[in-house]
Amino acid sequence: MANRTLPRLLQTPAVILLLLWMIVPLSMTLYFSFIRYVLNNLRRPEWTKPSIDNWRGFGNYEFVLNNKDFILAIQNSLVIVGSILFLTVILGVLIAVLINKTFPGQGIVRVLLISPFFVMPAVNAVLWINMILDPVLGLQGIAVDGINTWISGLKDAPLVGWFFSLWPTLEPISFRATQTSAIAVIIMVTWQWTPFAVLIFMTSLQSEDQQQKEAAILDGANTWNQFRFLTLPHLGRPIAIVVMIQAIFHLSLYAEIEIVSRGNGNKNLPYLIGEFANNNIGAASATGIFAVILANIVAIFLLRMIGKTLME
Amino acid sequence: MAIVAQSSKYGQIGRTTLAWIVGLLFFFPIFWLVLTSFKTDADAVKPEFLLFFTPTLENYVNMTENYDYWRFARNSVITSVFATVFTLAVGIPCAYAMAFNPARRTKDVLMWMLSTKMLPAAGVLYPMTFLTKNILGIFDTHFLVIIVLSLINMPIVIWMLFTYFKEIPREIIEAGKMDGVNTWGEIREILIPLAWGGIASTALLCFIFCWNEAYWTVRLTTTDAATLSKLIEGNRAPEGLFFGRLSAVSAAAVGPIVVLGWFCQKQLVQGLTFGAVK
Amino acid sequence: MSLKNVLCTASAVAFAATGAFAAELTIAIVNNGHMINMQTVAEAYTEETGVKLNWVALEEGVLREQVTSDTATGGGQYDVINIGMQEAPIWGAAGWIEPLNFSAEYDVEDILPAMRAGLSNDGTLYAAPFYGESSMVMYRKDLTDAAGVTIRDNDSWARVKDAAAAIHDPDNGVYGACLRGKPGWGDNMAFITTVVNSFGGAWFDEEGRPQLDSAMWNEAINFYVDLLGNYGPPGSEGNSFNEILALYNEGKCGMWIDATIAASFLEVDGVEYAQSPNAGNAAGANWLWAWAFAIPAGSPNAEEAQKFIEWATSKEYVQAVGNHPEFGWGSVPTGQRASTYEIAEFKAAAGFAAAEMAAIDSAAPAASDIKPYVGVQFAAIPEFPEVGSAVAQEMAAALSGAKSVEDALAASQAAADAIMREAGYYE
Repeated sequence: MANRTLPRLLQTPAVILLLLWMIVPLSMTLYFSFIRYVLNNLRRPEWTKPSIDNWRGFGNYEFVLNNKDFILAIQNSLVIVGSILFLTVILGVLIAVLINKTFPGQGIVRVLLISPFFVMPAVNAVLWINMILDPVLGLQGIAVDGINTWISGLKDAPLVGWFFSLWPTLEPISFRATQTSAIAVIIMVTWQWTPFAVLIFMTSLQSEDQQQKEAAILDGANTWNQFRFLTLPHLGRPIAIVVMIQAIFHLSLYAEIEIVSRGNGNKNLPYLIGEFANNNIGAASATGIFAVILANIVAIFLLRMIGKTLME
Repeated sequence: MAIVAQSSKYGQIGRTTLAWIVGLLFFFPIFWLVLTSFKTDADAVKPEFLLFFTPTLENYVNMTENYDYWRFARNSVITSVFATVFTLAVGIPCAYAMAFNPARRTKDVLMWMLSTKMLPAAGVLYPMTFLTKNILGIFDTHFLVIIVLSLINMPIVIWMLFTYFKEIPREIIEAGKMDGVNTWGEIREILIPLAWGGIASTALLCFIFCWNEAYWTVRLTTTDAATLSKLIEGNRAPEGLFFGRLSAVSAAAVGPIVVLGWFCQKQLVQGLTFGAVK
Repeated sequence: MSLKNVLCTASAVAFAATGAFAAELTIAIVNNGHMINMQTVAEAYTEETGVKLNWVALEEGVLREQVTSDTATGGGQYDVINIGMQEAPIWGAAGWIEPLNFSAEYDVEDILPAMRAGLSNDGTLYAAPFYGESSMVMYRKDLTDAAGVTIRDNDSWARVKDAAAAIHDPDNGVYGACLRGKPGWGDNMAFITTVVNSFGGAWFDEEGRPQLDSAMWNEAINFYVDLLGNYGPPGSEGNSFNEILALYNEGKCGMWIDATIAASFLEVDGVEYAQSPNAGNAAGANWLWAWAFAIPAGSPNAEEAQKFIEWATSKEYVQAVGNHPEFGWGSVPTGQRASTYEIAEFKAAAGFAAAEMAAIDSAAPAASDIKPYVGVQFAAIPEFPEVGSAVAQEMAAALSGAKSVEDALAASQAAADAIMREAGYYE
């Protein structure tokens, strides 16, 4: 008897709190998504109070589905999350392996490397987009300008001048343009979360079986084979963890998208919700339900892929 | 060991150099932020003052005088500390029960908990404002911010703790039971000391996430409970030239947490095993 | 110091901390220079009246979101809010903010007529302007002289473009025209709408049907993309007021058409002002905006709030800033009152005063045959921010070259139509 009740009792506070945290907003969202509800409409003031009289069935969903950016938002959610996961895992493994063995200043390099992970998302975004990537005032602009001046100076040099005169003038890239704004977001989030991956992989590498490794070296296995057949399999579980936690966080990116391009060429579902929420709560709620569905699809997909490793 | 020593000296130098380059590259943006915070707004956009300039504390003085930095900082500390403590207080018993008395559904419950983190916050902004302000009357209080921060981070905390606790041999806990220790005693006397590394790194991670949270902390506060992320939101694009000002505010907002991270990095590295040590 | 003394001092301090303030006001402000200065100037107000002021300074977008969510849910968090000309009339109509009634010595008639019109609904004033602005051309006389071109008041767009082309010299880091391109209804659309207006276009017709598929929009946007794409700085789709100000002060812009307030931030020599270009439309081609103070309905401190607003938007406030040792006449808020422009010290300190006054006077926010809605660079309807943001993104896409102007306009029209239909303007 006590064996069954006590564990339940211990779990109860957490479960109840999270249940409330989920049920209350979710049921409100669900309700609003089926009624007309706007904050301000001078022609139809009756729509500004949430009421069952304003029932409109799937009208909000239809409106959201027809939004010009709905498909873009879903595509982009997946592209951004996918790219960030890919880059952070690859970079994370490489860097973790690189700094795993002792070398002079290992401690300092480790401190330098993990620092970006502690930076607030909004600070991350303004720092990158204004001070680093800006095509004129940022470091990118200054660097491109400097290189161009340097090359044009060399064009007049004797003997080698003809060689440099063949070089084109570099154009700085605008990272707030429609075509590039998603890339800017991917760069800044990858910068912030690669340290997280490095941390986890590093921890895991420290528990790698050194005897096995030495045996492999005695058998004549080269560095690549050691990495491929010993290190990588060992990292399977940490990779699953990194993918899982990051997927959870990056599906709800908001500040970075807002600060980089205000939705120009780059949107995800939370951003689309934010746009509707300025006035049209019904549409924002319907988008919220779509976001919940998308999150669950991703979660199921992830579970299939990596859930087994994760839960064992 | 002999074999390791054989690996070429050049390889060693190359690896060291590469590691340093990577480390410095990753750190560079933060260095740049701090450097810019000592420039005036006008100097911050001038290429001729890129590296060599007359440093000024003007931005930091302005931040403390006009923007009440210390109030925001105090709120950040209070809410993050209490939210972390509360999350652990609720999370440790829960993870303990899940790890040592797993039921058939335990894994499903864990997955469900994680899935609550995927709910889009923006969709319920107005209902939440209405609920907390008009019905519960706790809008803009430390209490509300602490609860919300705890709920946001609880799933990850429970999951992390669960993975640590599972690594503890069951027999040790069982032995405690034999000695007639009650559940509370088990947790306090046996579990917490054994899983101390894991609990500490979980707490650190939770604290970092609390400190950096910027959706609800900005939107469910006015003045009394406003945290540093709200200070950033107010300053990320003020009218006029602002790189210097913004850098100072940003550096002062992320500074404490970065330094904390440095001091605790050993702890973090040892603790973030997620039960991977077999 | 004896223990008794310590205790006495401590209790006196405690008393002062709790009992000295007659009332407390929480004021939400946009993080702009004039408002930040006000926090210092208002120390005298607190001393005089005993009213404690809590300031919440926020970025424009976040401010809007916060103030909207508070006001729409019945208020209570803020006693005084900083809102713009787009919100004031419609929030007044919705009953979200209180009508303002001023005493005789406040001299409401002194507030510029364009400002009063823009902040009223049905003849009732709902917000008092703290500072106002229009738009104008700020060009570098040294550069135009060197290139042998001139820019006149209300010049034609064709001549402006020729001038931009003549002074455009990217190899030496000078761009012909710096204009807003960052998406946002208050960012790129503020400028773009003035161009569209000057070409004779408008956002909506009488029924509320969007007009983005009209020939005027097509002509205007093609012109805008052509001008800014060819003679603007790289990365223009990310530039708004702040970014361009930085470029301008770095000497990288030949001309800039933007808010008149910009003139008070310029640190470059040889700047001249001209009234906004106009393609020949009588409705004018310069915008009108004010950051104003309003009282949310349901504020428990409405009376104190009203008194504060009366002080902050008064003639005395202007004097207080002008005579303040930290600020002076170059930093007084402008564009709100006719009397400000009569102050000799101000006119001496602000070279742009005459141009600004002329621009504000010529702006026409009222509904007319050409645009059947209130507002110059926006429409004062609740749906406008949604429409404006959607169109703003398409315009930025056209400027980036990711879409043709025609495609961007077609997408804009479809998006605007969906929103207006959804809001029940027409079936």
